[in-house]
Amino acid sequence: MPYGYHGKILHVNLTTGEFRVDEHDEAFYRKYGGGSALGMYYLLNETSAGVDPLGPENVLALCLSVLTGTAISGQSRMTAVARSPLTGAIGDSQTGGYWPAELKFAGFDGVIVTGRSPKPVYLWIQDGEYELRDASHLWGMITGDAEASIRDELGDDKIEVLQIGPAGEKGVRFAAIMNMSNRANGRTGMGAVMGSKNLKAIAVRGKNRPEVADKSALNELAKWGVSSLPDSGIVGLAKYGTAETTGVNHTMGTLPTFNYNSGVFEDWEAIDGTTMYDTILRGAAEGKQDRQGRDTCYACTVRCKRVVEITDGPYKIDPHYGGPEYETTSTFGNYCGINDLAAIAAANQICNQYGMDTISCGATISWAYEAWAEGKLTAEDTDGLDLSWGNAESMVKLTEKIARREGFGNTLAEGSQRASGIVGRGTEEYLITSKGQEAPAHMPQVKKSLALIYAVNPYGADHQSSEHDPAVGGDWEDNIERMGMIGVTESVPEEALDEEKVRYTLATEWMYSAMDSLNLCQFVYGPAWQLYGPDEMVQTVRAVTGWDDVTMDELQIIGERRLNMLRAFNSREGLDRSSDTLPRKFFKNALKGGVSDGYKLDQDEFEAALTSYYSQSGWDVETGMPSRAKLEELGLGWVADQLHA
Amino acid sequence: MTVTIHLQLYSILREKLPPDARGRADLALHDGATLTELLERLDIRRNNIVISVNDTHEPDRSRVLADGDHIRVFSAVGGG
Ligand code: SF4
Repeated sequence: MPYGYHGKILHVNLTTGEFRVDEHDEAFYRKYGGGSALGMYYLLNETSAGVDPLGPENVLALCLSVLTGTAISGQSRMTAVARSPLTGAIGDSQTGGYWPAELKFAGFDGVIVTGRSPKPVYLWIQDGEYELRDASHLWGMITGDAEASIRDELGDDKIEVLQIGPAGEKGVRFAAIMNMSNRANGRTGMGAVMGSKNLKAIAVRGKNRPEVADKSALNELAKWGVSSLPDSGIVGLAKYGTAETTGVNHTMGTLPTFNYNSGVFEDWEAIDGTTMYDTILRGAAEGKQDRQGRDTCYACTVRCKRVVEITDGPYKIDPHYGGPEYETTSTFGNYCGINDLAAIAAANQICNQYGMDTISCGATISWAYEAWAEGKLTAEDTDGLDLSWGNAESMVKLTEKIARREGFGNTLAEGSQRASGIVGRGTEEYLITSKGQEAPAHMPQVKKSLALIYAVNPYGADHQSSEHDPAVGGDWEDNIERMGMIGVTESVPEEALDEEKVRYTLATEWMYSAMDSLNLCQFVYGPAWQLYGPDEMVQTVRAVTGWDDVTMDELQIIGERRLNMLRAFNSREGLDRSSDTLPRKFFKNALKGGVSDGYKLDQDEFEAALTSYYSQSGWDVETGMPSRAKLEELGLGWVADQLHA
Repeated sequence: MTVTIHLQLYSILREKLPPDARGRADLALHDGATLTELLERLDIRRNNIVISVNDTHEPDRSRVLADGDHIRVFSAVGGG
């Protein structure tokens, strides 16, 4: 009997309305773990080279892991993979919330969606039963309304709803898939893929809780997590949210400001997590925000999610739509020179109502702000909006226009890279994209390992694919034991981007990749400051699955395997070393102000790091393609056969 | 002789001061007091903290504080 998983994946072809249930054995689950690796198994098997990201032939895989739905913090996550309409490369994005656990309770470890329905539909899954239902009446609704309607018509307010908003319906290239109306598979445009299939939502409910091999061991780990939280590295993040890092980043010169032209933002304190806690979290006025202004994911003790409520002033915020993360306060805030927290919360709310990635949306707007500052855009281009740095009102209006694909918003809905192609006038100089995906709020000019990761990551610039530099630099003493478990045994200077830094980066990338396959939250599990380290990660897998001989080395290989699958997909689509690039401005323009004044990246150092990375990965250093030998070593001979035919 | 410094603590470090203070305090220290002594007095024992003095990052804990200095202390861990 399987522990932790059901061994069943629901597969639906929306063109024909046909369902099938795939059953996989234990060896399969142990090999892939779930999440992104499981999804890639389907992508590589069921799509062919040249697949149109928004065509019926694209496959959208929504996958849980062997751990999802069990009683421990950080496991209720789902990974979406499909070819990305934003980047043209593989798309990959994780979400938390309650939907992932509830899908497991409904009897499945994943849902694979192919084809395109002739009319809008939603999928309803309950206790192993499933059906497609008409969604014509839901099409065009914002997330909160659609969620309420679905619960109402199915007569159960405990149903969890995964859905797209109007942005996904209209093919905004960075549209997100939402659940709870405030959690997002945000990155790489997975919402646009779902919209192209005319699939509005997947509603789930069930009682099939997965069996756990060793309940008492899992319980002990959960209890240890609860008692360790107050002394852990995430205690501040839990209470003050991810935006607690705003002031630190400003101080260290790593707070991307004015579209990444500076690492410091003078007005940072106005949009910092501590300020958010004191002012706009629900219940803050009565000092009750710890109870009312924080939310969580299924079974998670951390409760890091923000719940904002604003009833007065120009921006009213409904707590149903949550509150902004650090990435969001950054892209809509410091990226645009904006110091208005209520306006940022409003932009966040629009993104959650319409279903858009806050990172790409805010960073696309900041690209437009820089183009305006440089005189490359005028009011004639922007429907009369003034895009001067710091203009919060225009930022909120533009967010709404993008969501609705109205006027200039229709151009920006294509993402900044395509928008620069449409506008021309040299505006590509202001891009902060890798593979067409806008960079998140961690600066590679200072955190050098991110220069490598933003470039090589198969789905574009990403901050959650590896551990950052401080963990192996200034914070090394705190992390020696945990790092040792993934083979990192020496400190490396934070400013280095040498062989040793590449080795560290790759080791942590494999661990993060394993976590994206086991679908573990990267605040709860990780190799450094997180609540649980590699040891507890291994213990969790053992307790849930009963695979008593599983080791961290085996989990690292799951991570490496997933990375090779993602990479193989890109290689199949013709992406190679020349696609592993960084924005030109990161090399050309020195940062202005603060500790990082004068910082820029060095092209030669970067190219040497790329070569070292490919070679350490067992990939061709000219093309960046995984070799047959490497794929076979990872049990991916079938992928090698596709790639090296 | 004493010096008075303006202190501001952020995030979880605020709990080193009474809740009403919201992390802010003006503290009198003896002349020649260093950042290390300030941290000891506040019972801040975490390694990964970041300090700025007058809005400039200060990695040196032996820095001697001057009258009127504005000290900010952040906890440096966490994600995004
Ligand atoms: S730490 Fe936060 S994001 Fe992660 S599972 Fe817990 S509540 Fe969700």
